[in-house]
Formats: sequence, C-alpha cells, structure tokens
Amino acid sequence: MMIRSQIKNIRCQNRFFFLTIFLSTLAPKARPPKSLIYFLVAGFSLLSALTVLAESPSEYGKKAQILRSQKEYEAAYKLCDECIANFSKEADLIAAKLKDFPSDYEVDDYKVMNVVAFCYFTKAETMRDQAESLSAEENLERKQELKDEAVRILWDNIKKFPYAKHYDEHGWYYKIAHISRKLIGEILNEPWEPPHEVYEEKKVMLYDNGSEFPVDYKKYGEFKGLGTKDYAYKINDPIGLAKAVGEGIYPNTTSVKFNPEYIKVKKYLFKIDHWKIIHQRDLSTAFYKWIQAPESPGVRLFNIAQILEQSDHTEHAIKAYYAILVHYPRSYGWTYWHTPWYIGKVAKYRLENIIKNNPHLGLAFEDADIEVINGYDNDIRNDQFIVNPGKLYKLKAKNIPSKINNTIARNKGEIKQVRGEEKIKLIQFQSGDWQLQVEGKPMILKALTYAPSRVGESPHNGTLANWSLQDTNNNGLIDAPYESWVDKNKNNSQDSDEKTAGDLQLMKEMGVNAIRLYHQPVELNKEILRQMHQKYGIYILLGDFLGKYTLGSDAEWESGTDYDNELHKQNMLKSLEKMVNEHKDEPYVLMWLIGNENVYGLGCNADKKPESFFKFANEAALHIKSLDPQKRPVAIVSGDILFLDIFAKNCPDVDVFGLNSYRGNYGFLDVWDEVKRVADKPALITEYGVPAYSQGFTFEEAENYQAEYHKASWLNIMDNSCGFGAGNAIGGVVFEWMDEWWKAYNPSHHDREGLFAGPFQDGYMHEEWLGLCGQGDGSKSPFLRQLRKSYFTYKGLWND
Amino acid sequence: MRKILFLNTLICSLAVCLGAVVVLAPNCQAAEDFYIYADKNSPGNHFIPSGWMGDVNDMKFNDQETKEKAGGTTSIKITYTAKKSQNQGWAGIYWQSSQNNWGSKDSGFDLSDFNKLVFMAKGEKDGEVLTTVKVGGITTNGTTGEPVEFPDTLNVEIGPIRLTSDWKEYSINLVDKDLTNVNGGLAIIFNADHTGVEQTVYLDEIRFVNDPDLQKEASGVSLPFYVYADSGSLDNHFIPSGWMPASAARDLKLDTNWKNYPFSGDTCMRLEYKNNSGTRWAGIFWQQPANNWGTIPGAGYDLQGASKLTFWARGDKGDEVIQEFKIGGISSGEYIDSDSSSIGPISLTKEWKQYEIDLRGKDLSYIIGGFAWATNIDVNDPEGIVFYIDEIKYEK
Repeated sequence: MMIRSQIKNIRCQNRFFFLTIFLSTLAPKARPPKSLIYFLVAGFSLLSALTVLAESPSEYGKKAQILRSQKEYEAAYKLCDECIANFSKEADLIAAKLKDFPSDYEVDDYKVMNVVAFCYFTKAETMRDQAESLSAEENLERKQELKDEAVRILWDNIKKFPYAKHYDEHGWYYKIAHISRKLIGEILNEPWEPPHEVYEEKKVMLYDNGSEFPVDYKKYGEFKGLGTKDYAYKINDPIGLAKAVGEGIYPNTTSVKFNPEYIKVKKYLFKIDHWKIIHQRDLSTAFYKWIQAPESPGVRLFNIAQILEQSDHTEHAIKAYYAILVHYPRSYGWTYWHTPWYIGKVAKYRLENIIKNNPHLGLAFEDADIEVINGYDNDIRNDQFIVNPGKLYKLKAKNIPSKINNTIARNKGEIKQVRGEEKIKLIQFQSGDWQLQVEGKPMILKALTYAPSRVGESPHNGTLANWSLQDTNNNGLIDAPYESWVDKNKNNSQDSDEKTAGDLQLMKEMGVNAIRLYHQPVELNKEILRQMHQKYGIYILLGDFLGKYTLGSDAEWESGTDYDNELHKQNMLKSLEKMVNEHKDEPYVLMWLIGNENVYGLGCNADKKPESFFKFANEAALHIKSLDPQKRPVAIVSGDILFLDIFAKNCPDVDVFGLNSYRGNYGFLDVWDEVKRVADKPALITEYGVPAYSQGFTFEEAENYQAEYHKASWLNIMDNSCGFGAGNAIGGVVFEWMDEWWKAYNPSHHDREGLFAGPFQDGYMHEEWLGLCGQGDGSKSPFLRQLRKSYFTYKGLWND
Repeated sequence: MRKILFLNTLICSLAVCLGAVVVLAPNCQAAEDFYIYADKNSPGNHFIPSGWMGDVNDMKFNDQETKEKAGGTTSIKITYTAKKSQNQGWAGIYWQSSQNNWGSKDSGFDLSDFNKLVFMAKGEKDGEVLTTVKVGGITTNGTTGEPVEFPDTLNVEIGPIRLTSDWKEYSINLVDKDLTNVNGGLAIIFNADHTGVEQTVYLDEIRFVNDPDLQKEASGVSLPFYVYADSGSLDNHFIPSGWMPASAARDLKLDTNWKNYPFSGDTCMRLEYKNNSGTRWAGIFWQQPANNWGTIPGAGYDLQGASKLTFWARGDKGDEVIQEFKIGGISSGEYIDSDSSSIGPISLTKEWKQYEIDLRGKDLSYIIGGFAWATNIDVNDPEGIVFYIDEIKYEK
C-alpha cells in the first residue's frame, strides 16, 4: 500500500514532571526515514523549493528530500550544497563539543549541526537514487562514481557528525550516523544491522515486603468523596502506611536504602537513564532507579509496579497498582499521537487481570471505577475524574476459588434491537449484549489483515506489486494465496515434506473466518476474493480510507482531506460508491469499513475537526447502505477510543465501533466498558498485534512473547463478547498475517530496527516483525512461510 | 602527589636568629598556621584566587588594599556590584592550589594537620553579605558534570554571613573532615538576592589553624528552618538554581523580590511559566549549594527533626495547576538527597493558602533539594501562568 503503515504505537509521553515521561518505554529512538514517504506525495514544486532557503536552515533538508523524490537530482544537490556551504563551519564547531547525543530539550542548540548532517545524508541518498536511475549498460562508470561518492559522503558524515539527529514531523528522530551506516550497507549490497544482543535478566530482590497484604488503607488514613469528583485519600499515619506497603511503594521512600542490593549499586545509579534501563532486563537496577526517578509519582509508581510484576513479586505489584488507585488515580501519560493515557484506569484493569489470573492469592477487588469525564479528546484541562479506588481485600478461605473462574454466560433475554436487514445482522439483547449473526448464527470475527508483500518490493519506490494479481512464476496461480508453503525445518528451502499449501489453506486451518482489505489504492482481484469465500469460508471486511492519507478525497497532501470541503466529500462519496457498486453483489463482503485511524490526522484533518469527520462518516454509512441491497453493517475504523464521545453523538448510522488498538499484553483494558458506556455499539478491534522480535531477548523469547500477547488479547475479546464482561466485543483483526520487509528501510533486508516506542516486550515496535508468519531469509519470497508460535496459538484458540 | 606541609615557625625562627629575645614568642602556635592570605606577596601565602565564577564581571578584586587591614600591611578588597551581568545572579572566587585548577592538576595540599579555617572580615558600611564561604568542593566539571581527576576531599561551607563595619573573626569548623587533598582552599560567593545592591567587603588573615579544643560541629539545624522568608533574608537556605529542563530559561521567570501583596514580610516570590520552548513542562529545584544535582560531597543539610515543610502559595488568576511540590529527590549524582516527599497536583487559589508536605517517617539526614515545584502546560492555560510562593520553611 502506498501509505504509511497502519501501525500506531502507544508512546506514553507525559511531559509532566522533571523529565519526559513515557509510560511504556520511552525515550525517542532512532528510526529510519520511512516517513520520507510523505514527501513522495507532497506535490511540492521545484520553483517553490528554490525560493525557500536561507531563511530557515531546517527547510533545506526537507526541500531537498522532496526534490530527490521528484527525481530533480541536480536541484537537490544544489540545495544540499548550499546548506553545507552556509552552515558547515558552525556545524563543525558544534559537533566538536559533543561527546554524546544531546538531550531532546537542547535540540534547538544543535539544529544547525543536525541540518547539515541531514543534508549530507540527503545528498548521498540522492546519489544512490540517481545511480539506480541510470541503466547499467550505458552508464556503468557514472553509476559506480555516484555510488562511490555517496559512500564516501556517508562515511564522512558518520565521522564528522556522530551525534546528529533528524527529527520527523511527530518529533521522533533518526540518528543520522545510524541511517547513514544503513544506507552504506544498502549501496554496497551488504545490509547492515546493529548486533542482536541478548541481555541477562536480573529480577528484583525485595528487602522490605511491607507488613501487610493487602494493605488496609482505612487504618492509616481517610477516604473522602468516594465515587465523586472530589475523591481524595488523606494519610493520617504516614509512618504506619510506609511500613505496611513496604519498599518502593508510596509513601515508602526509605526502605530501599537498607536493601543490600541497592547499596551495591546506588553509587552508579546516577549514570543510568531510567527510561533506557526499563527494557534492558536488569529489573533489579531498574527498580532502584525508578524508586528515585525524577518523574511524577503516578508514572513512577506505575513503572515500579510493572517491574515488580515482571520480577514475579505479584503481591508487591498488586500493592503498587492499588497504591496508584488510592493516591494517584488522576495520573496520565501521553501516546505518540498526543492522546492522554490514563494511568489510574490502566492500573485498575491490570489489577483485575492479575487478581483473576492468581486465584491462589484469595483476593477480591470490588467497586473500583475511574470515569474520566471529557476524557476522549486531547485536552486534559477539561478532564474531571470520578474516582472510587475500590476495595481490595482477602477472601475468607471458603470463598477462595481453586482455579481461574470461567464465568458462565449471563442470560441475555429477548432481542432488543437489530441492525442490518438481510443475512448479516447485529443483534442487541435485553441484557445489553451485542452479537454478530450471519444467516441467523452467532459469529465471532476471527480475522486478520492480509498483505503478503514480496521481499524486495516497496511502496516507497513504487515496486510493491498487487498481491491479488501477483503470479511471479507465471503458472496461472496467484502466488501467496495458493502457492505458499511452510518451511517447517526453517532451512529456507522447500523440502519434500513441505508441500505447497497456499495462504488460504493455512488460514483456514488456523481458524480465520475473515480478512480486512481496502479497495484502495489498488484494485482487488475479485476472483481471488470469491474463491477465498467459497472454498475457504473466509469473508472480507472491505474498507475505504475515507480520506485518510488523502485517499479518496483527491486533496493535496499538505492540506489533507478536509471534512468540511464539499469537493473532497463528493470525491469520497464517489470512492465509496465505487467500492460498494463493485462488490455489493459479492457474498464475500461481510462488513463495510470506513476510515483507518483518521482521528490521528495524517493526510486528513479529522484530528482537528473530529465532529466534521464523524458527521461525514455517518453520511458515508448512510450512503453505503443506500447502495447496498443487503444493508450489511458498516464499521468505522478509528484510532483507539479517541473522540469516542463525538463518534457516539454523530454516528447513529454507523453500526460498529471499530478501533485499531495497541495497548500491551493485557488486552484492551477499558475499551469495552467505554464503548458500552458512551456509544453502546458493538465493538471490533480492527487491528492489534505485536512484533516477534525484541532487542535484548532471544528470538525464541520474542516469539513466545508474541504468542502470549496475542493469546491475552484474544481472551480479552472473548471475555467481553456477548454474554460476558461488557458484552459488546464481536471479534478482532490480527495485524498481520506475515512480515512485510518494506516497512523500515531496505525492502530486501529484514530490518530489526525499533521504529518507535510501544507497549511491547522491549518497548519498541519492530514493524517488520508483526507477522504470524515469517519469510525466512527472504530468498523464497513470496512463497515461504515460517509459522510462528502465535499461529499455532490461534489455531488452538480459534478452532476450540 | 600531595604536598605534606611542615611550616616553618617563621616568627620564632627569626626571633632566635636575631637574638633579640631568647624566649619563644607567646603566639608561637599561630606561627604554624597555614596561610592563604597574610599580606600581599607574603611568602607564607598559599592558593591563588584564580577561580572566578558566575557573574564574573560583577566583581572587582584588589589584594593589596592598604587603607583597611586586620593585620600586617594589606587586605583583600572585593566589590560586588550585583548587576547580574552574566545573568547568573551570583558570583564568586575560588582560591585554588594552582592557577585555574578545577581538579585537573594534582597540586592540592594535604592539610590534615589543621581543623579550622579562620579569617577576618568586615564590610565597608554595615550589613554586607557573604552568601557562602567554603573550603573544598571542586569535585565535578562545571560544564560536563563529570567527576574531576583530582577532587577536593571535603566540601564544607558556612553562610550567609552578614558583616559589620568592624573587623571580626570568622571560622569554618573542619574537625573530622578529610583534608588530604585541598585544591579549593577558600571560596567566597555572593548572591545578588542576598546583597541586593553593590557592596564592598574586606578579607584578611585567612589561614588554616589547628585548634586542639575544637569539637566536631553538631549536626542538624534549628527549626523552623527557612527556605524562603523574604528576599535577602539571611534565614533563607537553598538556592533556586535547579531550573528544569535545560530549556527552562526560556520558559520561566523568577523574581525573589516581589513586593506586591506578599503573604508576610516585605516580599514573596513571583514565578511566571510560559511554554516558549515547546518543552511543555518546567520546574525549579532549590539546591544546596547552587546547581548541586548530587555531585558534591558533604553539601546537604541535616533536617532531622522536621515533621513538615509548609509554604504559602497563590495563583495570579486562580486555578493554576502545579503538578508537584516536593522536597528532596535529587538523584543525579553520588551524593543525593537522603529521601523525598511531595504533594500535588495542586490547583492554586487566587488568595494565599498554606500547603504542607508531610515529612514524618522520612530520612532528612541529607537534603540538598530543599524545595521544588514543577508543572506542565497541558494542565494549564496554554498562554502560561503566574503564581506566587512565600514563607517556605521546615517545621517541627
């Protein structure tokens, strides 16, 4: 797809207390210039580029990149050279002073150096492009000259500016030396990656477990305003409470100093970055560091709780999570998209999860509730918290369950309402539960996103083929759906016992009943979709981007789709018409999808005008229904629950609230309850997933983690399906079937780069490793499949 | 290599040589003192006043003043203009064991035979303030924060000292301190908030002595112990030097001498926060000494016995949100706060209101971050906020 990956992260960035705060990981990390794809569609003119200049050094690199993408090589060189000529002296002086990367807060002081280094990089990248554009026969010498010069510039860049960074529009940066090194590897056809390290794991050794478990907070203070906006817990006996909670848990800041392990390392702690240490598996050091981390108390406590949990100090972790609810229920962080991340709510759901999964502890946790009024927008100033931290207490022996309770479905009662008219309906019962029914039978969507991208192909350079038509061996069979095979012994070769199976067969065996596809930007091969449905029982969740990335609206990239612009709206309605008219008579369509995280912006202004967007989305849903004789359900594909309240108010005709959600290995936390409370619609996770690679962990550990993450996610969906929990989950769409190698940098190389922070095993999103299947060493792409543990996890769960 | 000092008893020797008096002079003990400054060009002088710091253009230095002297023929005259010419708000001079030695040269003295620094001082008028007088403390590189190669083995300071127009003797108790490597023999530091206006001070007869009767200084402080009472008050402790993050200078304004509607006394502190840098958060630590993020040994106050820190605050408009008020918690070095405690977030009222940080059960034996606040723009008016703080003190 000619778009940025749909994956979003949850970089909980709370610029709140003494340092930047990220909940799940956090410090910005180098990433390759994937976002330069934006420039490809920016439509920037050469004339305007050449008139920019000197007024703003930072414009040079940006404009040069645009020119590079437009193959205006000479103009790009000119801009880069001009920047270098104007600013390299100053840049050299700055670079000479540095012994390490400056902090993000000092970025302005180092801007000139960063700009110059980026221009050198851009110049080399342009040379690489120009070399590739020349035909080998006629220009062999010139081609080689360009490559040699590019490599020379890049090595020079690495040497001169080892601490330069380039920031993208979201504030993320690439280490320029790092991407320079990668580009050298690409030019020399010797792909380069930093070494894969496996860190030694060291767990926390507690010195003071505290005198009570669970802690009876009433003994040490007073709860005021329970279940109101004025909730507070006033400590009357801080010494007693500190003794009861034990080491590292608020308000106990003292016990740790007597911990022999802490005494050993305390002199060195100041040298450690608390955000870096948190994912380096030295949980012991991370714990001591975080006890004194210069962050807000809620964030500090949350990370302490996580570390304790990972160290198998389950009881102490429970205390820490509960302490957040008691003392800091209003804490928050920020996601990458600058949406609030409410720590108190997360702590509550984690607590519930831990208690459920550890029945031997004999705990009950009741009545906890944190409602954030006005919590669906980006503005935390208007938030109001209604807080009840709940009661956490020990059950009497006779009431302690012997194992995890598998609750029995509640009585749903009569049908209350039906959405949809023909074969596919959404039913709501008197109990409030929602159910998807196909021809009268309940169906849980066991779906995945399917994009079998061939290794070496990339939308960045226009080489990514349409998989639904791709037949590389010209045998009349479409490659991926019909001719893939499982490399069981992982030797990257098709052995005699590794018969051709095809993805469709593999997915069927796995239990997949639907895949998510978009009709843009390339047309889908309907015949494949028909066979998919007829032979393998797989439905299609078919989508239109509704102006995201400007797709469908024909808007200019820089201004993006405007949901108040009549022309854009007309164009988008036409795009929808095309989709529906093309596929409405096909039985494979189960549901229509509209949008893809439009609420985060990026090629559209839904982030700035959410009300306009959702009003138009409703218009789009009505339009689809007017065209579809079967009146199949319409689901929005939103970005988590951002602007959920505005959706609820403006989208009565959208049947399903779909959301892409990456919330970590606990499932989806408050998603179900919030959708029920605010919108009372069926909920579908339209994307979720986790990489099968983690820096610092073995490949096996990472693959196991991926499987566990998926299992927890799926069980969370089932726990909230019709008759259970919130009762509104109708399924989930796994992201994704197989690894796509074009996502990071070099489409011929399986990049291990952590592209941005997220709630994953090592704290980063390794976007080329999201598949349930790998592509081995890439030599047998698009046919080879190495099935990961998560494939078999789903096979067990979905065929149960 | 440490210089082991065997001071000549110069006066006694001279007396013997001259044969004028055959008995020992009664102040023979004093003759063994290790001088930093006796008189201009005195052969017994040690250390060089080469370490100028802070607003260096605010100081005029004359080490051969002849009109005023406590002994001998000359004294040191320092005029501090308090103009904040380098925007630091403070200025000072280190007497270093060798010229400009900030810890890179092995030229320090082993002064283990001494247990007290003594000096004479006076002001030109009356009421001049030496904010800090210290021995040692050159331990980290002021730019990089990295430990220096040859650090001082002690860091002991007194102050602020309000001088009189008469010469008086002042001393720093060094009993039980490690004087095996003393590179920063003396530092005199002025703070513009303490002095307020230009002032001239005189120093003389600065020397290390051995006082056999001197006892180790009792630890702890007397309560209430003020962080801020009034602008220029000698009761003030800790310096509001820890501006966070690095970009805070663009976002914060601090006026410690705000006279309009203080809670008590003549002044309060006015703080203005705007998100000019785009960093979205900011805060200030009151540190001991200035800019100490935990790298300076022996710098913290022992505040044991305090059960709370109280302060008064108000917002300019009301509803300004301060995410956290805090004591302690500085943890960026080897010599960090012994504990921490905090309250917040707090939504300020337009009228003065007292707040309290509970310190019961906390280890207050070593506090270098006496007070701190921090907030962010996300919880406040995007245009920024103004708020006021007064009467910050540790109490029983």
